[in-house]
Amino acid sequence: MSYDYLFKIVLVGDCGVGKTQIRNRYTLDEFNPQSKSTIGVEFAFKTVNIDGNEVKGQIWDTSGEERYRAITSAYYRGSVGAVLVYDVTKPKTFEALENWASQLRQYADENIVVCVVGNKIDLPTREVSTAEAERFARGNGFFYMETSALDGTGVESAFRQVMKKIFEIVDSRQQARKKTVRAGSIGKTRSIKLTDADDVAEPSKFSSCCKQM
Amino acid sequence: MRKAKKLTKRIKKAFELESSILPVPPPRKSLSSTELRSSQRSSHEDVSIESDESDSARSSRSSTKSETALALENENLQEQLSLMMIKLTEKDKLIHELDAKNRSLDEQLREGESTMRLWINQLKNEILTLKDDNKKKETALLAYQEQNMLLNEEILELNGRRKCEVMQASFHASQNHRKYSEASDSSLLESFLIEDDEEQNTSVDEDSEFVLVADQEAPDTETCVWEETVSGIKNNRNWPNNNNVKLLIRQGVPPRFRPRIWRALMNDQIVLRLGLYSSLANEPPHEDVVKQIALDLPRTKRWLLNDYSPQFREKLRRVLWAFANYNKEIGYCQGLNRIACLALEHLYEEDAFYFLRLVTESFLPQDYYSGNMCGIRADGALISEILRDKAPRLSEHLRSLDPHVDTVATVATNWLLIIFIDPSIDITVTLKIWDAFLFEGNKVLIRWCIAIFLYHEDKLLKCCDSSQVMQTLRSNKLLEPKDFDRIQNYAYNRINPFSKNLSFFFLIKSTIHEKTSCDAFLEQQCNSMNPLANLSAGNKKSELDPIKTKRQSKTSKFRYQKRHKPTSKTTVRYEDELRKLRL
Repeated sequence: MSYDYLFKIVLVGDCGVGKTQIRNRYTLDEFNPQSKSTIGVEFAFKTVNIDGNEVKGQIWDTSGEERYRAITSAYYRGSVGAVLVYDVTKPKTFEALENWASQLRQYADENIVVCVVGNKIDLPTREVSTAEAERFARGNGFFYMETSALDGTGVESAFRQVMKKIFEIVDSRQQARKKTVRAGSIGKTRSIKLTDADDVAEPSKFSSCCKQM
Repeated sequence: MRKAKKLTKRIKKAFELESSILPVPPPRKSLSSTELRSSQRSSHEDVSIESDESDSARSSRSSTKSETALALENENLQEQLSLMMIKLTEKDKLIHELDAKNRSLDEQLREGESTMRLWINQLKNEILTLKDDNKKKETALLAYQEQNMLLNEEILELNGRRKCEVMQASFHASQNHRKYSEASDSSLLESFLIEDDEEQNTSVDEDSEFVLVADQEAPDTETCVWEETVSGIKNNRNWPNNNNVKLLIRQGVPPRFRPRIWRALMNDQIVLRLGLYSSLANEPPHEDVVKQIALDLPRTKRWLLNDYSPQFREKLRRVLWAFANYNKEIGYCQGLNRIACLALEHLYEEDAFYFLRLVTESFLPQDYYSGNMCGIRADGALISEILRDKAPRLSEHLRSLDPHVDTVATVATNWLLIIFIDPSIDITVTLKIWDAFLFEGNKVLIRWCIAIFLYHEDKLLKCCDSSQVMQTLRSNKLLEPKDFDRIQNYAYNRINPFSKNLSFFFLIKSTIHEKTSCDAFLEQQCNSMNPLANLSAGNKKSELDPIKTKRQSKTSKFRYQKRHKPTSKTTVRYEDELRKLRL
């Protein structure tokens, strides 16, 4: 299957907030109440169409345990999107977002697109209000969505939003680059970057390569 | 005492009642009656005398009359007074009597109380002595259970050996029989044997046939071999040097022998302590650990059986609690639940605890699950380096696909964290890897990590982005039973010699380890400002069990050296490891 872009998106948040369930809902459209705990990292993929471009999302579903951060923080490198999950019924998981955000700032791309996701909104025992979460998201330059992995509410659109925003950044950079190429300042055509140092995707190379298979 | 108070209260009330009921004639009333009488009388007299007597005489009479009336009144009053006095004295007497009664009752009560207290004390003492007895009996029971287990094992072993001997004997006998029939010059002994056989032909033959049918031909040799191995491991302290056993175990232990082999391997390594487990398993560890374990219990999959009953879950919880209480440095870490689950499927509950200890404390290198997991990160990086040496093309390809993350180290770390207990790997393969791991140690895991990469080299070279690499390496059919022979060939043969410059690798590993631990230290320093981070940091290992394992004592020396010697001498430090790794 060919695609034009490959975006690496990390899924982070405390233990038991439902990261794996969100991932399964998004990529497989299923919810398994007897899932097992993620240890280290798990991977999932899904290709979506944004403005006529095939965009492949590579989701790194990381372990939420405190101790694993030493290992999982290494996975943030090169990611252009992050989904920061908390459990709306557990304020402690919301408070931990601050910590997760600082981890992302420390290890991930500085222009990373971050979506704060309040999961388990299907439960009646909600304790973190939408306004509170929105305030946190806005304060950090993130955007906020609410999901229920159980019934699927908001999951698809959360990922779509993240990918769309990344795509917008990439697209604008590409336009700017084309201009500079035309101007002749850069001789060699390179891949799209979020920042100056990081490559996001090489559309022509990937699609041609995959078509060969 | 309360009773006494109640009594006095009652008595007081009674008095009040009495006083209210008793007719204490009010003085006024009596006065009025005398007045009435006197007035009546005076009225009569008035009627009779009024006509013939003068006013003066009338007045004098009336004064005398009033005097007599007063005297009468006085008399009356005095009478009443005396009556009241009598009543009063009687009441006083009554009060005295009741008071006396009260006192005696109080005394009785006090006596009763003291006797009760004595009794209670006696009972308490009795309870204490009974408790002591109970404790003693419990420890005795534990000892008996232990003994029972060991004896059972011995019986099993002896049974197995007997079976083998019977089989071998019958095999020899049948051969001899053939010889006897073919050539008549057999020895006297053989003829005796055969005669014996023939004598018991009808009765015993059925028995031996039953044994043979039950176990069939093929497992016979297997039974013999593994029975020998079990007893060999148990009795021979030099088992790691035994090449035959090593090669045998690398092929995997038959499932029915696995519990016994694992236990035999454990027995040699760890000293069991009576009562330690039960005391640790029932005491709740740190609050966060309890929460995390509770969160993971329903998310732990059973690997061999589908049955995940509440009893099994309870067992798993107890084992994890006991381990968290014992090893406070590790406490609980995700991944341990899978190891404990695997252990519980093969061993008794208490043995599972010791198994977990053995794996984390002596089989795996330092800091695999504790602190900032420097040990596991270093191993991941080491595997990446070895693969670069073994398969430079593959290594370069993977690096080019994802320049940000070391894919090899990432995937290898994931395998090491759960020691290959993962849905992507068939459980029978996992168990075979575990057999070799328990026999040879950590290096087996490194071998397998590299072997998996090499086995999938062609597929991986065809991948054109990192997502395909991950798809290949994390697919549900990464390691299947049919692949075992080929991958183990890679793991144990094809990657040999590990490297010409193996010492170079260990130098790398040591520098990686030192770097990661240094980084971890810096991280910790940063995080110490952060109250949320590193909840488990700072907890030292408890000194509950003074008896350390053999290997642990070695590694602790090793650790000591590591901390105090300069980096330039790292090669010397790893001589030991080198020797282990060389086949």
